[in-house]
Amino acid sequence: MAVSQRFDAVVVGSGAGGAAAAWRLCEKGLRVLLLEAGPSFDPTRDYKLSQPDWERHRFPEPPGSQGKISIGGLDRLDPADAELRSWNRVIGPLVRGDARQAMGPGYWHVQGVGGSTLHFVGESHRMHPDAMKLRSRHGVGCDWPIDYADLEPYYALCESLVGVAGPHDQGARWRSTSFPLPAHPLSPPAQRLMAAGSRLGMHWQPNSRAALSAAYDGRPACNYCGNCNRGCPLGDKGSADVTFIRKGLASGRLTVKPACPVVRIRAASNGRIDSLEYLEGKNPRRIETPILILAAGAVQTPRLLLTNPSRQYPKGLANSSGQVGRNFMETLSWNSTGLVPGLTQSHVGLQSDAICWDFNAPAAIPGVIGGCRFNSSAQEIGFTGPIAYASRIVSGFGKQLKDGVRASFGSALSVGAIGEFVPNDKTFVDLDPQKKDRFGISLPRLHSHLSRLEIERLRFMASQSRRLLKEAGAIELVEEFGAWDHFSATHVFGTCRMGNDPVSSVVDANCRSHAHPNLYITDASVFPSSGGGESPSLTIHALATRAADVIVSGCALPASRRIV
Amino acid sequence: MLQEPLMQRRRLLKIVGAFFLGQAFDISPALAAAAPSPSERATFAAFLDVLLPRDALTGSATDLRVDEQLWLLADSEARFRRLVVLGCQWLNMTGGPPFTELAAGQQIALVEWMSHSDWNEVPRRFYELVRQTAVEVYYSDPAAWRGLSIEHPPQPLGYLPPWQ
Repeated sequence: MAVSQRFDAVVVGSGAGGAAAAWRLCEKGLRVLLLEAGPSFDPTRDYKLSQPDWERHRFPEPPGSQGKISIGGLDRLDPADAELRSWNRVIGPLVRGDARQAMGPGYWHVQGVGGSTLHFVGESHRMHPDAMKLRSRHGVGCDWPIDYADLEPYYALCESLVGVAGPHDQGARWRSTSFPLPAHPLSPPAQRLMAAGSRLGMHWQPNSRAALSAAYDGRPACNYCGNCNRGCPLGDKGSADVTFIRKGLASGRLTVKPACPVVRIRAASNGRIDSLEYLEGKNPRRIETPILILAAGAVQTPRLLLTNPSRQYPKGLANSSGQVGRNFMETLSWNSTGLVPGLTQSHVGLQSDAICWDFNAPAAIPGVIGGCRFNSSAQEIGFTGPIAYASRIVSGFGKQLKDGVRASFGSALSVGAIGEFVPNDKTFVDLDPQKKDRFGISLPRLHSHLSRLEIERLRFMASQSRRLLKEAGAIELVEEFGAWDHFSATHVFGTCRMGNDPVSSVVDANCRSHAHPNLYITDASVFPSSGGGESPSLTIHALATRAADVIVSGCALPASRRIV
Repeated sequence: MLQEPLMQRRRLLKIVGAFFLGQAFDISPALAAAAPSPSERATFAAFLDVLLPRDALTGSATDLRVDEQLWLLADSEARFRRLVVLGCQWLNMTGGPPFTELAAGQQIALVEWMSHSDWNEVPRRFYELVRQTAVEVYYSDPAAWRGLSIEHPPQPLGYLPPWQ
């Protein structure tokens, strides 16, 4: 087997965490190899937003761009909660049967250079400080071993690199600097929600977005096409490929290898990870790992650890605590859509451009611990073209259908909500005992259970969304969907929890494995709590760059490579 | 980030697969593999034009060649082809003249009945899947956008403010 040239650090996974860590290490002078299991994307070739049939194309899924998973146990549905059923006016119930079902793959992600930032909306959120102390202050979940203040300089650093646009007013999320760019103009649907929210005593504001409100750092400004999650062909969206990876490559110290899945990680008897094996085409390669950073996401990272047991580590790497794969937190989401007479352009503007944080703090929802946020979501959930209207909103056929699409197009107003997911014993990732990938490696298996706390939070999210739509003038609801009957995770967390106690966590406060001194994890699997609906990419960036600084500060590098 | 409900056609194709697995009736593999007859083409085209008729602003499904696109899909998707065979057979077995020879009002009444029929029977599955697939193809053609507040795909122009 060929042994590749030596790097100072090897990073596995090129999404929000891997790319940010790699960039920061390169910036500090280290030579870094970034291994990515999936392909590279060419925005001009692969993203279809200039084609007449653009609406038929989601984010592209070329071979290798999806990690295979299997779905384990999902809940039976309690009819007492049927008000949370997913439905739309064309199809009726979206889940038929009495059990929760995976929507599509169940776990929506991109395996490719840039990872899931390629298809993300691009919200750029800091954690609510109080949401990082759920256990000590609210008696549920788990505390983070670090504070908001520890992350704040890294939030600012990463916002500056990405070019985040947002308003200064951020409530409890205090800031040491202003956003690098001013907030985006509010789209027509966001303006409606802002006005309705104000009448209800809610505070809506422009969302902080990893999309450029003005040209920045060689990238153009957004042109408000409303389809960020189908892939941004302009490069104004702050996905990892056009930000951290581009900067890392410019340093001359970053090597990116797409389509190179890792198949083996080896630990030495002293606990250090000494090498890993990956495939380049059909050729196995081995590379030494002075520093190894895993950043393959909260599903694939635990899988990599669990599928590499040894005599010394029979439960898998970094898993003496048995916590790898536990504490899985999925996306507790809800969405309601109504038609608003007089609204004609809800398909234009930036996705998720307005947000309400009023209920985001852990104790903000009456009677339910764990917060949520609300956002304008018409463009995000696909009401940007006529196919969505004809498929989901306008029922029937013939003249009724065609006239209905004309009458309703542009009037869909949608409220989205994402809430805290408190870990429970029945929600976890393990290895499927039967199903394996093409390399013979077990697939990750996802188990999910919604506790009463989650269902009550969902009830609040649904009722508040409906209340907003009514106040905004919606004459009727036309579609609702959510996590009660759909397992549909986009943000996933917690499967390699960070903490101070090796008995109950996988990595320490610096994202360093308790068991392996040169192994770091810099993706959302280290999150001890999900937050009350904050999108995680910025916090992942911040944790990753902070971990990189710990690495270069010298505690994990050979003396010859330390940077003082 | 919220994930929109799956594009319904993909989901419906899965349902159709499960539907055939759970049903005693089906068609022979030979019939499913056969090229569509002129009669079957005409029936399918007429059904599509009931779903998406011509009006003052835009053409019908067949004006925009939706039928041709759907036959291409049927060539590549065996489950869809089987459902089209069954659906067209059903449209012509209602006891009266073939579907293409019914008066317009009769065709509409028949399709209306299909749209409310039993979810677990061929007429409803045929209606739902063909409707979904047809609107995807139809509204992918800019010629179908007259009367809507869009004039071009989202890129490269975008939708710059000011907005209404």
